[in-house]
Formats: sequence, structure tokens, C-alpha cells
Amino acid sequence: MPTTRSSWKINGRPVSLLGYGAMRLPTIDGAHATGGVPGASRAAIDQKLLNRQVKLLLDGGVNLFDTSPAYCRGESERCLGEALARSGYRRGDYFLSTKHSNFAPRQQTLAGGKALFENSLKFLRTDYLDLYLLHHVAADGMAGFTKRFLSNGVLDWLCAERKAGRIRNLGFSFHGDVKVWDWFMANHGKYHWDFALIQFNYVDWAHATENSNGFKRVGMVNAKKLYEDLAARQIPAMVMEPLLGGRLARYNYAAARELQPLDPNASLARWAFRFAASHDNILTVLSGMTRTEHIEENLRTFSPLKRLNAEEFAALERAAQAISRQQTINCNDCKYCMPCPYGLDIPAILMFRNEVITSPVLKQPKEILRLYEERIPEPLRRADHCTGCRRCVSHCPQQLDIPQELAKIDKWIDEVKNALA
Amino acid sequence: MRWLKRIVAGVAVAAVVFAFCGVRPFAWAAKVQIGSFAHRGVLGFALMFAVGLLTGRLFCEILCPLGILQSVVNRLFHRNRPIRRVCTQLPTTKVQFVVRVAVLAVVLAVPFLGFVTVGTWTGLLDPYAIFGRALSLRVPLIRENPLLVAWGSLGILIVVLAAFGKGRIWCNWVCPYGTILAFCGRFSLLRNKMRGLECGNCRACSVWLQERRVFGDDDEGDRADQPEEQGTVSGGGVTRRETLKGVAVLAAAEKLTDGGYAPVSLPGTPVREKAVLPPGAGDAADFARRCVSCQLCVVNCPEACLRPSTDLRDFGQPKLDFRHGHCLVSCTRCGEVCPAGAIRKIPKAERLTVHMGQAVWKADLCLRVTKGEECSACSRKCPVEAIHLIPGKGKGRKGRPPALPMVDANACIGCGACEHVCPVRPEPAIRVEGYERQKIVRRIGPSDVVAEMMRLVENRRNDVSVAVAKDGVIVARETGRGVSPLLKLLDAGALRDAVVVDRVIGRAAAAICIVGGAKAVHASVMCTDAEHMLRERKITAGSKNPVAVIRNSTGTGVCPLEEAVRTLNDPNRMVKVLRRKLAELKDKAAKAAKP
Repeated sequence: MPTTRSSWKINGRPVSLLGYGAMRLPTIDGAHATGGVPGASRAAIDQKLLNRQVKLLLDGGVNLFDTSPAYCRGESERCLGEALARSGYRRGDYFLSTKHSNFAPRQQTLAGGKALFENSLKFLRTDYLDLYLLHHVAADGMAGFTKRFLSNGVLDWLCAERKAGRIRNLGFSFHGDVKVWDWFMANHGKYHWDFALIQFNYVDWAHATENSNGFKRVGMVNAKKLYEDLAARQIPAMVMEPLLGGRLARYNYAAARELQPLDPNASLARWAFRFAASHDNILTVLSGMTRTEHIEENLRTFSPLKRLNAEEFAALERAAQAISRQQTINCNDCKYCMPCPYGLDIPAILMFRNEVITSPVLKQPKEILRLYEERIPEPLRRADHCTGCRRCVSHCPQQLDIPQELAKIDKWIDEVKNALA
Repeated sequence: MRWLKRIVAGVAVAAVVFAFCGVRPFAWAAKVQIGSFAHRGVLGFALMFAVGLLTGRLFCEILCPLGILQSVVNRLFHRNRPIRRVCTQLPTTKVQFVVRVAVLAVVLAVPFLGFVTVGTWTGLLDPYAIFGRALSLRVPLIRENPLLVAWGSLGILIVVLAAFGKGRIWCNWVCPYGTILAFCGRFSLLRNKMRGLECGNCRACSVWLQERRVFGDDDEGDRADQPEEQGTVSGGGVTRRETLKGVAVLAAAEKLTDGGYAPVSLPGTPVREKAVLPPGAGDAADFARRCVSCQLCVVNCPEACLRPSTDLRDFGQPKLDFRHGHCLVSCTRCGEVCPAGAIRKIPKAERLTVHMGQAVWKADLCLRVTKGEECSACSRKCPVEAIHLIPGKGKGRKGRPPALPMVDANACIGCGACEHVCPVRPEPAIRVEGYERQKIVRRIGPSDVVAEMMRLVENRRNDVSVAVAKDGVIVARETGRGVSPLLKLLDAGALRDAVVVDRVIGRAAAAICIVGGAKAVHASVMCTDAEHMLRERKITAGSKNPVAVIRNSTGTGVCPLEEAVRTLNDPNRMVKVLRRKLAELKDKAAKAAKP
């Protein structure tokens, strides 16, 4: 059974409802290149495995591949390009999507932007891109966006490239500051966004603004608003973080209690995918599948996709409420904050904290400290070494106040140590 | 009797080994060692003589781990041959006598020459310390330094090698305690009663050694040997060369891609004018005299921040080193385990009163100065909030005046947290200088219950704005904004002799506390005037964040309640005005809500 197609088409051709996001490529040590397994991998990307996985995806009917020059320490585009070239499929059989990831100041000029684009084409072994995105447009708010895309003329040039045909569709990826979102919506008439990439899952649908720690998450926007804004303008939404970096796929008692009775065989991941894909205005649901087993399971979920009914939507909403009440830190382990200039392993520290919070068994101070040492083996990369320089804050798509979270974690660790001493 | 002895000996050695493996309940094993009381001055010496006069060399047989080890080693190699064990009645040769006395004389005399501390010197020949040092080689920190490895392993190697042939050579020829005990033992009360026999070359002592069965404590003996073998393999520590090239911080300041790690490196070996001694060491000179450098504290330090000195003068005596961690604010483990009284045991509650040294900030190294970085690692980490960032003049990197850290020397306890987290390499920009004599500062600060209440009010999830404790127990908590929760408590009479913790305390709230008769007032945010007002009336007051004025909830101006009592000084009157003002505000709100 082939993968379900989206109701939208790209360049007049059908697109699979499940897309592949090349942010968490497999590495030779069995972790993935940008994390996931706490104490993340620095090993090289496992190209052979990736080749097999890409072939499996294409055979399964997945025909949209999304990447970025920033992913996997800059390796993602090259590796994906190679895997696609070796897959035996022709360029016209699949859609390529990458992003304008100009986060470093020297990339923020027109020349730097052009170089970034040309590099992407080179690495992906193509002369046109089906989808091209302005990456993480709300990093550093409207000021940052203006600096990155408007004042240097990059956006105008990208529109020109779209006209010239090297970019077939131009869109943007958004997390965070709603002012930037409003600008994009207001300027749809001028630039005509072909699509938008938004964080979309059953928790963020209506609970994105609720922080785990009881405070409002400043700057987060509910996916519902984003989706409805896009639908009103007939802009198709591309979905990212359908699983919140795997958080929604991991065992979670509160969610399982709501969902399992309805479909005892379904994994939590399947529920999350079905939520994202059950909406009409969805172009495709991107998933960064590190393991072949993830790919196989997701292909099963999407071949064909069973849409949610009202009862199931209600159950997911209850699960979302339960999840958003949990004390976990909303880190999706995307590693946008990395590398920390002071060498901290930020995602591993935050994931460790979540692991302890959600674990029903980890309670003893000794166990907590041992896990801390295991997850962040190098002492110099642990939370106490945060200097509060705040460089990471603007990079975080989840709008986490990372230095504050790290300070809290460090304080807690010191308390644990003191309790033991 | 002999089985009893064997069992006691086995237990004693096992206990020492466990103590050195960080098993806390066994710390007593070190405290019964003779060296531990011999170092406690005249009384200790007297005690040692008393032990000798009472029990002869019984100690050497059943408690001294090094002595027992020698017996075990000899026994393993000479199963059928009687060995020379310690016996006060064994005839000694003249040569032996001369050697013994000479060693004792040298031991007693050398410290007077002044090139080495008493502790380090006597520790060289202290049997327990020799044994402990060998065991301490299991700690990577010590294996890092070849000098320490040699120092830890040579002593025990010599002793054990000597024991192969004729048993306890070391005990009978060298050990200064052995000499003293043997001398006393000649007049010991138990000298003949141990076996009910006079020594006339009875060989009773050898008979029990001829038994086929091996000592019950063989395993322990073997285990004790192990660390020394490992010790010859050098540890996987960071070499000095590696640390010196580690100026790589900030190498990845410009973010191009996601993921990856900036390089990190340990700081170099710290150079201090005065060493920082473990908490409870008291006077540096006392410490130097008492510590036999057995390394028990070093192996028991949970943060690996105690490490033996490699100075020849006080070789082996522990000093604080913050490369791997800082001295935890409620940890008193080194004092708990120290057998020699060099590090005194501090009650946990008083741990924070001991100031080991003070942090010294070096402007020329600090990233804030050299690179204009917004680094606040030291002030973030300081557990006693002794490092503050003082806004400076001129413009910094982001157009704001660069704030620079300043150490509140009175608050600083010298724990080294700041030095540990400072990112500057190879030499941290803030380092701790030890005090010659550790300071004891009685604190009128947040006790445990205050800290707990502070957590309550600061975490908004708890929805508690005021918490009140009496006699160390939280008796009331109130929710709500402004001063109304406090007024409610005042009306209920709950403030009398209470410790009050509030989110925000301004002059208005302070007045209520005064009228209510509170004993202490703490707050997350407190205005300095309120603090003064409370202190004037001998009420303990303190806050995490002192501010000049309390702002209103929208942050657009001064809090209206504060404004209402601004010109008043009498607390009773202030409370009256407050009640009126609150009623007024309520009316206003009600009216505003109506149309």
C-alpha cells in the first residue's frame, strides 16, 4: 500500500503526506548526529545506513526530503545529496527542500546568502530546489529577521530566484515571536508565500503557551492560530516537530492512559502522526527518522493514513493537557543552541533533567548523580559551567530561557550532592 | 584467644580498606590507629604510653593494618616456618636496639629543623598512613602525579618486601610507634598474661603461626595490595601540556551550524599564595603538625577537590584544588573521617560558618575585561551569593556599561565554586586564596526552614506569597497579592515571634511585620529602607534581591501602598494608613467594574 498523498501538490505533482527531515541523521556509533540519545554523538554520519534508509523511504512512497545547511554540524545536505544520488531514483521523482540558514553574521550579506544557496545546490547535487525556506525567521525577533533577510536584500533576491526557476516554491520556517509571524501574514500579498513550516502537534495545538514550569512561555504561539492563519490565506502548512523531538513518542504514562484504550496496538508516535496528518491544510508531515525501525513504523502509519475521529481528537486533547501539566523542560533536542561557545552540552543537560522528572524509578540522589555523569560524561560540559552569556537564547526555537534552566538544574544538582554529603 | 585475635585483626584491616573505599560507616577504623592519637599533642602521647603500658604490643597484632599485612605476606610465603612476630619479650639484639632508637631520635628531631612539617614527616613512617597512602592510589586524582604514585607505593613496597623473609622486620626495627610500644610493653600489665606464659623461648608465638590454615584476613591483605599494582599504571589525567594549550574557549563563538561541541579543557595547576585547607582545618600550623597525610579525606571527598600537596615541605597533606569540583556547602565528610584531628568535625548546620579563604578576582584575566564577554559564571554559581556584578562606566559590547564582578569578602567562604566554573584558561580569572587561620563567622542567615519557605514563595506554582514559621516549623502560608495576606496574618495574630518569608517586602509590609511582632523577615525582593527599618528594631532581615524601591505590578511606577506610607515612620500608624488605602483601592476597583 503506497503512502497516503497530500491533498496539496508541488509543481502539479502529488506529494507524500509523510516527509523526511534530515536533521537527525544516523551516525556510526548508533546515536544520531544532532542528539536524541543523551550525551549525543560526535561520530561521523553513517552514510551506508542513510543510503539504505533513503532507498527504503523512496520505495515506500515518501518523496519529500527536507534538510538545511546547519543540520548535523553542516553535514546533512551533503550526506542527503549522496544518498539520493545513490538511490536509483531520478531527480524528478522526489522533491528537495532546504533552508536559508544564515545564522552567522558573515552569512547575512547578499554575497554570503548567495554563497549559502549555491553551496546547498552543490551539496544536494541539483540545479533547482522544489522548496526553499527562510530558516527560523523569528530568531532574535523582528530585528533579527530584518537584519538577516530584509535590509541586505536577501529576500528580494530569493523572490527573483523563484521567478528564475531555481527556487520552485518559497516559504519560511517559524518558531517563536508572533510579531514576525504577523509580518509574514501581512506581507503575504507582497511576497506570496508558497508554504510555511510550523511546529504542529497535539500539544502545541492549544498548549504551546503553557510552560512546564508554571510560567507562561513568552513568545510561543499555539499551532492552532498558525494553522488557521495559513488556512485563511490558502497557504499550505508543512509540519515540523510532529513528535516534539521524540518527546511525544516516548513512553508517557499520562498520555498513554488517555490514548491506549482507544487503540491498544498503536504507539504514541502513531497517535502524534495521525493528529498532524488529519488536518486538511497540511502539505506534508516532516519527521526526522534516525532508525530504520522508525521509518518502517511511520510508513505503516501513513499507508494508508487513518484520519482521527472526533472521539480521538478529544482524547488527544486530554493527553495534551496532561503532558503540558508535567514539569518537563520543553527541549526538543534540536541542537540549534549548539555549539555552546563555552562547551556545554546544553541539550543533554536538559534531556537529563527531563529523564529524571519523567522517570518513575529515579529518585535516589546517588542514582541521579550517576545518571548525570553518564549523560554528560565530561564534567566541563555540565550545567555549572554555564556563564550566562545568553548566546543560545535566540537560537532556541522553543523559546527556552536556557541559562535560567541550566542555573536551576545546577542548583538542583548541588542540592542533591549536598543531600548526599 | 588466638582466634579472637585473628578475627579482630581481620575486621580491623577490612574496616580500614572499606574506609579508604569511601564506605562511610568504617571511618572509625582509622580513628583507632595509634598515629591518630599520637598526633594530638601531649595528651595523645600520654595515651599512647598508657596503651603501651597496659597492653604492650597488642595493638600491633590486632589493629595495625600494616603490621597485619606483613604477617599475612610472610605467612603466605612461609607456611610452615615460624616467623618473627611482634613480641615484647622477644630478645632484641644490640644492633636492633641501636637502629630503633636512632630512627626514633631522627623522627623526633627532624621536624625541629623546619624544612618539613611534623605531620608530613611522621606520616612517612606512620604505619597506618603508609597503608592508607597505598590504598589511596585507587583515586585517579592521585595517580595523575608520578611523584604521588611513588610516594604512595614505595613505603608499602619496602615494608612488604622486608616481610617476605623474616616477617615483621619493619615493626621490629623501624616503626617509631613500635619502638615506643615495645619499650612500654616491657612493663606491660598484660605482658605475661596474654598466654599465661613467661617467654623463655617458648615458641608459643610461632606455634599458632604453624597452623595450616591461612588467616581469615587473607583476602583483605590481597586487596590491600591491589591498588599499589594499579598505581604503576599512570592515570588518564590531563597533563600540564594539554591544559596549557587549552585557551580554546570561545573558539566557536560564531554559530554556523547546529550541534557539535566547542573544545573544553581543564585549567592549569593553580598557583596560590596561600593554600586553601579543608573546612575544619583551623589553623594552618596546627593542621601541618597534625595531618599524617594518610589520604583518607582525599579518597572520601565527594567532589574530588581535596588533593595532596606536592610541595616538599608539606608533601601529601591535603589542599583544596577546584579543578574538578568545588567544596560543597553542606559537606563535612573530610572532618568526619579525619583520624588525626587535623580536620575537625564541623556540625552540618555550622558548615557555612567556616570560611576557608576568599575569592580574588583578577581583572586582567576576566573575560568581561579582556573580551567584553557577558560572562557571569562566578556570580551565578556562588552558593553564598558573595559575588556581585557592579555596573561600570563607559560602553561595553552591547552598548551597556560593562558590569564587573566584585567579591564580598565577608560573605565569601572560599568554597571555590567560582574558580571551578571560571572559563578562563589556563589560569582562572578568579581564584581562592586560603586563610592562614580559618574564619568562623556566625551567620544570621536563612536557616533550613527559611530556605524551604523561600522556595515555597519563589516558585509560583506553589501559589504561596507569604509563609510563616515558628520554632523551625512552617505554621502558616497565605496566597494573594500585595500586603493583604500579611494583614490577614497580622489580624490572626500569626506573626508574633514568627519568621516571615514573603515574595516582596517593602516598607509597608515591614511595618506590618513589626506591628505583628515578627522575629525575622526574609524576602525574595526587599527594599533597603524596609531592611533598615526592620534591623533598627532588632528584627533579622535579609533578601535575595535588595532593591531601592518597590514598583507597582505593572512596573510603571512606585507601588501605591509604598507611596501611601512613604512619609510615615511609626509602624502602627503606617498599618492604619495601609488599611485605609486598601479599602480605598477596593472601592475604586468596585466602582470601575460597575459601569
